[in-house]
Amino acid sequence: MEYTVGFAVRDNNNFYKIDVSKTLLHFIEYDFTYFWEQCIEAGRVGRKTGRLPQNAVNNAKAVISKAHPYIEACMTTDYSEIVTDCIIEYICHSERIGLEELWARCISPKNMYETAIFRRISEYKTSRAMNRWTSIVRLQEYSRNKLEFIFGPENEKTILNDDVVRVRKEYFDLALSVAANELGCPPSALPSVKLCNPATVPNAAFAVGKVAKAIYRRFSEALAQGRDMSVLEGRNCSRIQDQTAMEAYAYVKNMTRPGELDMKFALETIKSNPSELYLPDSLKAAIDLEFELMYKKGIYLRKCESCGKYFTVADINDDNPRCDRVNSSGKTCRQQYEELCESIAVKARESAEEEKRSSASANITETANIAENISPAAAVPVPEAPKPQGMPVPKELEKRGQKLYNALYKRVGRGIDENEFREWSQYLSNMKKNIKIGEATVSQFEEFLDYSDRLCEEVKLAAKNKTTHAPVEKTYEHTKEKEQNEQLELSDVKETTVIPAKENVEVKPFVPQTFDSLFDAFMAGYAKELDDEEVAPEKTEKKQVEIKMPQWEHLTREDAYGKKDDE
Amino acid sequence: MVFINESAALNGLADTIIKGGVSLYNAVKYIYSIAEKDFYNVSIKDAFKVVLNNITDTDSLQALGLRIDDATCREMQNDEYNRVLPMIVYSLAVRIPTLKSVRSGDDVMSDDQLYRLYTMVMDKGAENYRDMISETFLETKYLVRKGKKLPPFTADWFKTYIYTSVPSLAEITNKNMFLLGYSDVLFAMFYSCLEEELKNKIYEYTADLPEEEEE
Repeated sequence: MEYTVGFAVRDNNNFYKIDVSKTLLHFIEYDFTYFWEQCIEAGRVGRKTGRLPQNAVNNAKAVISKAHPYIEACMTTDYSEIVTDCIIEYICHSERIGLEELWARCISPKNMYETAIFRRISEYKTSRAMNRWTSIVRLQEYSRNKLEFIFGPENEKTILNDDVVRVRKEYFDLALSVAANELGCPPSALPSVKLCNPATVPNAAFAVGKVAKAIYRRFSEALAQGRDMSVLEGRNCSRIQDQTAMEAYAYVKNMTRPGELDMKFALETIKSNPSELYLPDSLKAAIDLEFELMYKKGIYLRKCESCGKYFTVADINDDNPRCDRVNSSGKTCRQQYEELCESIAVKARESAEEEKRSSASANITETANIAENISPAAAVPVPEAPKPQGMPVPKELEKRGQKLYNALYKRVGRGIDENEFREWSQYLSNMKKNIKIGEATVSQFEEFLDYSDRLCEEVKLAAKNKTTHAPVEKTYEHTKEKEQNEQLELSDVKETTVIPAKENVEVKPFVPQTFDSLFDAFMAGYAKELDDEEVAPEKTEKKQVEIKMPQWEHLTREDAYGKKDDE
Repeated sequence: MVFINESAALNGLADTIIKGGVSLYNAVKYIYSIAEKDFYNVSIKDAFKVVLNNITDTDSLQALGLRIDDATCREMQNDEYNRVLPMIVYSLAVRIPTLKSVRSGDDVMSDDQLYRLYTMVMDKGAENYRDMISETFLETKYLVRKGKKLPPFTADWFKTYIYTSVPSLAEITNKNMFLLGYSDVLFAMFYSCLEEELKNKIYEYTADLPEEEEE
């Protein structure tokens, strides 16, 4: 079921679209890792050169604006400083300092980079802005929780219907309202959505510019002599809105319908715009709006029993809750399940026929007929494969993988190209995930790491010689194929493990890097230096200074207020 | 005192004093604008930190979203109040003899150098309007030579001037009371930071950094 609504935002004359439920699912599953990496890189360059590289900033903005149409709509206004926000968050997180300390460090900025940070934190401090990056991450979690709360399959006996969805949704929203109320938060401070049309949005005169110009031409003389109604910024006019509106209306109240030609012209313009426009005042409001519209239009989401991701269901009573996402096998979860059922049904039919031939029993014939006519999922119990036992990835292997990641990441574009690196890192992450869920073994992971070691050596050599690295034999894949063959021999039905194709890669939601201790945080940065040591030991000292010794001076009270403070 | 380039050094010091004066003058206005509608948004402590760490940056408080215009400090946008700027610069200029205490090795600024610096600052527009400021260059020089303690740098003359000459600020309003409260603290703290700044400038011009700062 497809349902699209239009929305507008302040200070932007364009209209945007929300694909109800799809936009939400896209936002929930959006992977912010690439944005985060781009920002960190921009921050590093900024620290070295004294200014943020504009290209990297623009790239990062382009990446994050794809997460949600609201972010795209506000990219030049509310989200224009999102890269700085991300850098600030990274500095505070990695150096374990608070905003106040970072602000004090940059209070006498020495370059544009420090000025940008200082100005942005000043904006936070004076409530003129918030950290948009952390806000997006928190809102992703918020929407995920709300989705889980409303559509999560916690109680299988509950049948999802309009009432259940409504109750859950309103209960969730009410919880937030109660918390806000108890904390003394004024209702006007919370996000909200207005319903408008293109002619009543705040910047309608510019958004529907062509028609607005034609109207202006009709009344320009009267308007030129009108009273100046611009009010001082900050004055509260909420109680005199009607009066203000009627005062403006007085100038056009004698308006007659325009000529046919003008009407035709207006029709062409207006027809291309959506008749209904929502005006969310924040990203949270846009997310809540989508939940609201989903409920109103009876759009339900369910969790796919194969991949665990939510998807929009066409029929709520469908007893096959599987999505149409293409997974690592190159098929959709639904197709995969249907094929599995089909193969089981075929097997059952064959065995039934065999038995029929041998014993010619009437009962067996009946069973075979049932298997042929009734849905395989319902008629034939699916033989449950023994669930593989997952285990955590051993720490030493985890560290080894991280070290290899750092080493290769540093040489992207110099010895290893970006696509190859992405493919490799995706494989690494899938491998770890598979170990956790029991679909891969530690020895397979070790083999992959051995291969990666060899690859890393080749890449280092190539980076040094400024060439492309020599091909490295993918021994781990051979092993996998061998195992697959063995498994196939054991069972025809069992699924094969396929290396995920690039376009089918599962994207996990972004989770900021966290450290258990200061030592871990230090080691995460230090691992890169260790790696450098192998190639160019003379550069190590320089690198350490770059990471561990920030350029800012620490501000003491004496520095701030002068030594004669007490005098 | 031997400077690398004496005239450039004196010019630089005069500039620092003038900029400091403008910075203090603007800081008073910017902080006054807090009372208009940012009283609960902008912390005055933050404003002080920003000003005192950027003594010669005349508009550093814009970073806190503050601005000076008719909407935010209408009461200060008049000719009477504009005279405060040359007076602030004068109040700083008369304290130039205190720079005698800055030593570069065994070297100190000569009386002639101090007087030339004072003249430069006065020529750039400092003025003691209606003799509001009781201190003079000669008095300060005398006190410094005798090794006597100087009276603290306060906003007393500023408040007297406001009461007597700027009716829009002399009126009893929330904003004006706020002005009288913070100006005392701001003037005293600003002066001590400016002294530090001038000291550093002198070291810079003699290319002789003090030992404790080399650490």
